[in-house]
Amino acid sequence: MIKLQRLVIEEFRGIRKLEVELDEKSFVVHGPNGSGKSGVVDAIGFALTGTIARLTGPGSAGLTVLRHGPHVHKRDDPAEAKVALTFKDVASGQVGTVTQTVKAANQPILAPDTPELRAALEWAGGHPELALSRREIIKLILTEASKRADEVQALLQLDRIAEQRKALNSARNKLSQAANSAASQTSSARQAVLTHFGQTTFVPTSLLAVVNGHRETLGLAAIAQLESATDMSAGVEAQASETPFDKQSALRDVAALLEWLGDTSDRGPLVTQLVDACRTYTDNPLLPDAAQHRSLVATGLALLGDGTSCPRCDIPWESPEALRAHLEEKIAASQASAQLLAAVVHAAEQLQEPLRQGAALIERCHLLAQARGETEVASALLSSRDNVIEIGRGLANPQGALLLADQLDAGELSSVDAVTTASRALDEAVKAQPDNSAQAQARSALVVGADRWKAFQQYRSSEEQAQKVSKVGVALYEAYCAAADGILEDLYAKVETRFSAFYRQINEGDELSFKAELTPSSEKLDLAVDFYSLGMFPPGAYHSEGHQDGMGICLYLALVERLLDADFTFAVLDDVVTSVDMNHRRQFCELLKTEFPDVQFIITTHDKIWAKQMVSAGLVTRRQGLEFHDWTVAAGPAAEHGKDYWDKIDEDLQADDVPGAASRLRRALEAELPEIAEVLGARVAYRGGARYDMGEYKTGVDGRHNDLLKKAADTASSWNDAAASATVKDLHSARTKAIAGLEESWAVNLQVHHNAWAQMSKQDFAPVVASFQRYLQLFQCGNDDRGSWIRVEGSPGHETALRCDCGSYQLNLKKKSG
Amino acid sequence: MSIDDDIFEALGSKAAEIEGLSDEAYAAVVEVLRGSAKPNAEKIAASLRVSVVGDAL
Repeated sequence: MIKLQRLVIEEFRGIRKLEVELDEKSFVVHGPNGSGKSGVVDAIGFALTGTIARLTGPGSAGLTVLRHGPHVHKRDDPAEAKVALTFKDVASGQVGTVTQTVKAANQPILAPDTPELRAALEWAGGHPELALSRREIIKLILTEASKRADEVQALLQLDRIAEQRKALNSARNKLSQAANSAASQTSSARQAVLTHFGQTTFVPTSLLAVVNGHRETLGLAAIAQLESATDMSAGVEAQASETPFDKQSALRDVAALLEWLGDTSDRGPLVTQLVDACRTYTDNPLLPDAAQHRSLVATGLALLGDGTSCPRCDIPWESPEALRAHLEEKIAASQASAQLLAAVVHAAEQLQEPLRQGAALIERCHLLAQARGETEVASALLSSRDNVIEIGRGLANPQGALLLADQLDAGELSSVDAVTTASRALDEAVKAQPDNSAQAQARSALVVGADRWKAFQQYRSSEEQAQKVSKVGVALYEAYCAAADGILEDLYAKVETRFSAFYRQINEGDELSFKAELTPSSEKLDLAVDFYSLGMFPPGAYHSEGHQDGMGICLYLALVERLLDADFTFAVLDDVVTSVDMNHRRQFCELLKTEFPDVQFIITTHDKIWAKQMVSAGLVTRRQGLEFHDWTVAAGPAAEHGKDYWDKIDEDLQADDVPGAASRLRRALEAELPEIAEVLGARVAYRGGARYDMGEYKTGVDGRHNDLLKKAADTASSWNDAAASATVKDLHSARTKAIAGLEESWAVNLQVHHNAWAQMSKQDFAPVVASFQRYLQLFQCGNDDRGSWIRVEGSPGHETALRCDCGSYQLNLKKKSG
Repeated sequence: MSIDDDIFEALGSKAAEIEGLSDEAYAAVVEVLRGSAKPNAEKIAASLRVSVVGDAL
């Protein structure tokens, strides 16, 4: 967490050379559009991250920091384009300067280069949300729910959570697939044991009876109980001249494969079901599109009012009903699309198990053929086995299943001629083998059976372990989801509460019942807001652009507050409150001052009055401002630091530029007197078109000010407040002198807006300036940093106080009752 | 505390109740999850296999 102290910009963007003292305090940069304000924002971002946000992202194709970061005159000399930002690491209190050049962007030079400052710099560079424009903030409000989820997730860096959830889900699926695969292998191994001993179902006593029959033939003791560790061949003496070959068992293996090939009753309907599902899905090209556009259409449907134009693209429709029916049809199509894809996945999953069984049967016969020296048969069976395994893999994902539809429809699984031919050849080869003697038969049966039993037990053990691991994977994934969902629900609830409170504060006296609801659901984040207690609606439904701007900044502040907590020490707001109307700007300043007293806000605005209001409301001091004007390609912006018009008039007079000083004074009075009239509640005779001259404002202001001081005197008297009476007396005396000073000046009597001012000498005009300065000071407190006007509180006729924002000017206007 | 910290604090107590999940395996999973912007699912699965089955697999 850092605070910004000083910024030096050279040959960067539209700025040639600029030094800004930020002093860890909030700061306002103002100037008309195109005057270079955003260069300051870009410079701060560049110093911290080595990139320029404006040159990246959508709409920035062909733009690069290296080519377009320097001032246009230095575009071939990027080493000249540099930014130096002096900052304080709030945690350690250390101060350092980071310097970045466009030529070596992302290779910051830090001085002093301490671990604390480097960590602070890296932290700030990792939080791009600390410098946002109006365009980026309004996206939080005016966007579809799925995109809002993306924006908010990006802002809160929740994409990490999505990635973690995804990784755990993927791990869970991998473990589940491994468990299923292990189960399938166990099943095949069990079937191999059963086939070998001529059994159809696994009944341990029946199996043991067959085993013991063979052992009896060899004169071996019977096995009492069949257990996992049982060695069926215990005691069987190996015969050097014999290779274990159980002719009957081999014939049963081949028969089992031939039966699987010939009987498609298990997989045939599944193939048909899968092919049908794939065909239905792919034959209608609108269905995949419908799935992709579902959220967009749902947003349009939610925004649909009584109008006859589409709320998203303004295309006119014959009636709202027709448009609604069209959108509902699209929603239905997307639902159908999702259901059909689910049907494809389901059918593909079902088909995998019989394929695994077939692959296992083919594999047993392949090994048999290999052992009997039937190389051609073995090769054909191996090829067939690989083909079946490949199809099974393809069915493991929806896209693979869709691609296999044609192959399956062409009878890939039923085209078993090659396998059948090979199996029959193997059958003949086995039958051609001489029958075993009874004892040789028994020996082979027990040796081969023991091997298969052992393999079955190993597979079963592996399956048990795989199932346990799979359960842990599922439990961990569910635990993570529960933990993340709980935290996020709490986060959204807090954000919702703060967002609503912030918005109510800046709309004080307007939307007191305002509340917002943030509703997360899967990949979406719905936002609904109250509209004058008439219901909850999307923010763009009824609220004005200015209100939406206000919502954007309030939601941003609520989100960043939750994200950074005490680390929220600075933010750059680039023209973010453009549309907030005059009446709500003071409350907005109050919000930033009261809720974020320790945050340094760097604010840009093209609105000069708004910049001044930030000063008068005490959000920034008069010295913490920078005015840009008269930007040219050759010189960049003309910048003036923390000066007010008195400073500038004085400079004009020092330079003997009386016409300049006169013009500046006239413009200052034109701006100030209406504002003073407003904050005091002065009466000005009505004119159509609001064309008032300065004299009319001044008359109204003088009269109102006099009335208020009289009321303050009466009030002080009613409370027997001698100190207040003395204060009012002093103010009244100052007023008398200031107004008399104006009236005594022959120059002022010319009319305050008279062009004759410009013709005066410096000696004649200086007293005019001094008179007006004294006059305007009547309506200010003595706090030079603020320069805010005193304002009356209460309603006309029921005024309660006359005070300034900082509290140093305070007159009670509420008389003691009775 | 970051949102990430909050989640893993909540997850820690839940994970302790999962039968078959050793402390070492959980720590390894957390390291994988928090150590990369794109955590590797195969590494997580491998850590869980070791937890239940042991190093043999």
